[in-house]
Amino acid sequence: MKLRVKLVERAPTERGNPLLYGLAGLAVGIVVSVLLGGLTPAGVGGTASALMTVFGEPSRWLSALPYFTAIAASAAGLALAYRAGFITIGAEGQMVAGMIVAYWLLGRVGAGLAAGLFAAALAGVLLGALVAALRLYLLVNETLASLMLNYVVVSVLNYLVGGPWSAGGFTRTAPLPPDRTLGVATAATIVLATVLLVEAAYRFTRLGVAVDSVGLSRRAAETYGVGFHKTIMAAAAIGGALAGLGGGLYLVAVQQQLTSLNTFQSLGYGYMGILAAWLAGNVIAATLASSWLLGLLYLASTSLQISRVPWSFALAVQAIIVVFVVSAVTLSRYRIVLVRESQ
Amino acid sequence: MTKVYPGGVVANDCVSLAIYSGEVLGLLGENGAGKTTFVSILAGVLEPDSGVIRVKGRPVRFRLPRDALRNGIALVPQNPMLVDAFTVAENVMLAARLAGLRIGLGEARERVRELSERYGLLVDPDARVWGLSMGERQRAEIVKALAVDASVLLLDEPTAHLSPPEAEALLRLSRRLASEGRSVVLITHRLREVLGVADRIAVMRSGRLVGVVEASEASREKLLEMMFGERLAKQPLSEPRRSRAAAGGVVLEVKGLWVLGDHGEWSVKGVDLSIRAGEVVGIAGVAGNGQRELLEALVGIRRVARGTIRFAGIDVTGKGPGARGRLGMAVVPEQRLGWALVPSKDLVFNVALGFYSSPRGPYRGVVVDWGGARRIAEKIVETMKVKTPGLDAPVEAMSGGNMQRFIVGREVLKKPRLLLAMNPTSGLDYAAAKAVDKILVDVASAGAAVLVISEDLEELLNVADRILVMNKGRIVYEAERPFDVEKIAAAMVEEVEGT
Repeated sequence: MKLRVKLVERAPTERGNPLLYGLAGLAVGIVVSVLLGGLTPAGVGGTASALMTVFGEPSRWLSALPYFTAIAASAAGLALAYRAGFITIGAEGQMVAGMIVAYWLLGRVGAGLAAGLFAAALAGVLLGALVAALRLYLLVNETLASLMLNYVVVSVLNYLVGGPWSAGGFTRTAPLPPDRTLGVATAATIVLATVLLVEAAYRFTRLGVAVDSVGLSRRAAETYGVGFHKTIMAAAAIGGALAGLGGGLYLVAVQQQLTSLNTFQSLGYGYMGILAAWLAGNVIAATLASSWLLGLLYLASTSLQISRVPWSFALAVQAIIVVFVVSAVTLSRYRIVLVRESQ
Repeated sequence: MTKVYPGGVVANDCVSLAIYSGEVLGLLGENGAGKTTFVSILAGVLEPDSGVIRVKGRPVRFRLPRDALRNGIALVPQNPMLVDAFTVAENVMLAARLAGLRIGLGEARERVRELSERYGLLVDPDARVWGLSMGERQRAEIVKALAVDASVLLLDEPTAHLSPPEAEALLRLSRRLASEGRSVVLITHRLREVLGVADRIAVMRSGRLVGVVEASEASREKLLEMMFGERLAKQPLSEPRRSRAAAGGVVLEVKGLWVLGDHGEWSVKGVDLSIRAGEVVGIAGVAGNGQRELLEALVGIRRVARGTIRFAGIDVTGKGPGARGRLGMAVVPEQRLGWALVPSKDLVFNVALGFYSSPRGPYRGVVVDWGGARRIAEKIVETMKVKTPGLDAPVEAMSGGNMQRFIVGREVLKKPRLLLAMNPTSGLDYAAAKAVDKILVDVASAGAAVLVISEDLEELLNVADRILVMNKGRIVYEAERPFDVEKIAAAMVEEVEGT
C-alpha cells in the first residue's frame, strides 16, 4: 500500500476564499523569510524585528501609501489589458510619460492640477493606443513594443532633466510650486476611486463581456459581434490612462519634481504593477490588495536593509513572500487528498 | 470505473467492460450517458476515482495520455485534439514521441503518406492543422492513432463531422482494422452505424452500463429501449413535421460570392444563394469544400473578395457580425467551445456574449442587465432540457450535447430573422438531434429564414425545403422536395469541372 498526495480541483462553488488563503500564505512566507534570515548578519532576531516593524504594526501600513498609489494605478490597467489577452508591459513608460506631461503643464506652463492630471492620463492613453495600433495594424508584438517604448520615454525624461529642464546644473528639475502638489492620502484616494470605477465598468458594462470574450475566445467574441480591434484598443487606452494618471499623481504627491532615472530599472512601479496584476489573478479590484502587499514588501526590503541584511537577501524576501502568497491563492482552488494505492 | 466530476455529477458509476482484440465494440448512449468520460479514462485523459484497467490481464494506471499510448490505447476524440500550428506530420511525430517511439519528421511524413494511402484517408502530411476542416482533422486524428501502432482505437463520435460517403468509408475502415487484429471502440449515437459494423454493442445510460449485446441479436427497437428506458414511451421519436409557413420575402441574397481560404486559395467560387422567410435551405457537401468559409463570410468574420451579401434588404457585404446581429442574424457555429461559447465562463456570461449585438439582448445601452441574462439562461436550460451543474458553472463542465442544446436554445431565443447553423446536431443523440431539427423547422415556421450547412445528409433531408450541394467551392446542384438522394450524394462526391 502506497500513499499518494493528489490535488483535486474544487467545483467553482466550493473554492476557498482566496483572500484568506493569501493572508495565510503571507504569514507562512514571513516565517520562512525570518528563518532564512538566520543565514545573514542580522540573524533570525534582526530579520524578524525588521519584518515585524512593517507587517506587525498596523500604524506602519500607511507608510506604503506612496508605493501603493503608483503600483495600483498601473496594476489595475494591466489587469484589464491582460484579461483581453493584450500582454503589454508598458505601464512603466506610461507612468513616466504621465509624469513628464504633468510636470510640463504644472511646473512650466502653470496649468491647474486637474489639467495636469488629465494630461498625464492622456499621455498614457496615447502611448497605450500606439502600442495597440502597432499590434493591430502592423502585427508588432505588444510586449516588445511596449518594453522598447519604456526605454524611449525614460530617455526623453533623462534628456529633459539633464538639459532644458535641469535645475541648477543637476539632473533634476526644480520642485513643483506647493499649490501644484497633493497629499499622498488624496492621491491614493483618487487611485482607489479610479480603480473601483474601472472595476465597475468591467463588471457592469459591455466592456467586461467584450474584454473577457476577446481574451478567452476571440473567435466566439467576433462571431457574436464583439469588435476585436475596438476591444483591444479600449483595454490598452484605459490601461494607459490609469498608468499615466498614476505617474501624474506620483509626481504631484510624492516626488514633486522630476529626476533622472536608470533606463532599464526606471521607477519600477510600472513593472511591479505586472506582478500585482498577476498576483490578483487579473481581478481589477483585487489589484488594490496585491498592490498594497507589494508596497509593504517594498517597505520591508528597505527596513531589512537598515537592519544590516544584504540588499540581495531583502530582494529574496520579496520573492519568497510572493511565492507563498501565489501558492496559497492557487491552493484555494484545490483540495489536498491522500490516495491509497495498491502496488 | 467510477468518476464523479466536481459539483457531484456522477459520470461513470461502476462501469465494467471488456474489449477483445479483433472486434468492433459499439458504445451507445444518449448525451451525458458517460461514454466520453469512460473512453477518456481508458485513454489516460481523465483519472478515475476508483476502478482498475487491465491490459492483456495486467493492471495498469494511466495518469496521462502517454501512459495509455504506451499501452497501445489511442483516443480519436470527438473534437480533434491536434496542435493547430503544426502540420499533420508534426502532430504525428509528437504523438509518436509520447508513445515512446523515436521518429523524425521525415519518417512521420512517410507514415502519414503511407497510412493515408493504405486506408484511403486522404490526409496531406504537410497541411497545417488550423487550415483543415473538421472532417480532415478527424482523419488526421485516425492517422495519428494508426501511426503510433495503437492496438486499441477509441473512436469518439468519429462520423459526427463526416459526410455520408466519408462516414461509410470510416465504418469500413473500422472493420478492416478489427480484421487486422486491433480492437475498435466505436462511440456513436447512430444506431444504423453500430448495427452495421459492430460485433458487440454496449449501452450506457446515466453513467451506468445498461448491458452488452451481440450485434447479431440486437435490433433498433431493443437498443432504443436500452438507451432511453421507460422514457421512450413518453417521448416518441417522430420525424420533425413540417408545418411551414408560406415562404415570404427574400431575407438573405448572395450574389457571385468569392471568398479566399486560409491558404490564400479560392474556397468559395461565385456562389449565388437566396433564402426566403419561412424557408429552410440546406447546404450539403463533403467536409472541406468551402462550407466553413461560406458560413464565415455570411457571418461577417471572413472578408468577401467579390460579390454581395444582402440581408434584410440591406447590403451587408462590408459590415461586421455586430451589424448583422443587430439586423437579426443568429449563428450556431461548427464548433462549440471557443467558437460559440467561452469555455471557462458560466452560462450567464455566455448568454450575455451570444446576445451582445442582438436587439433582444440583456443590455440597457452599454450597461449589462445580469439579472436579465440569468433569466434568459434559466429559460434556455428549462426549454432545451440542458443538464448543467448550475448557471454559474463553466460551460466546459457540461457534456458536448448539452452545450449544443444551450447554443441552439440561445440563438433561437433571439427570435432571429435569419438563423445560420453549421452541423447543428453533430454529437447529439437521436432524441436530442430530432429535437434540434424540430426547432430549426419551428424557427422557419415562425417566419425566419434558416440556412443549415451540414455534413449529415439525413438531417438535411429531414429539415430542408431545398438542398444545395457544395463541391469544391461551388454550388453544383440544387434540389427541391421530394429529394432525389442519389443525385444529391453523387453531386457531393463527383469531380467538378473547371476548378
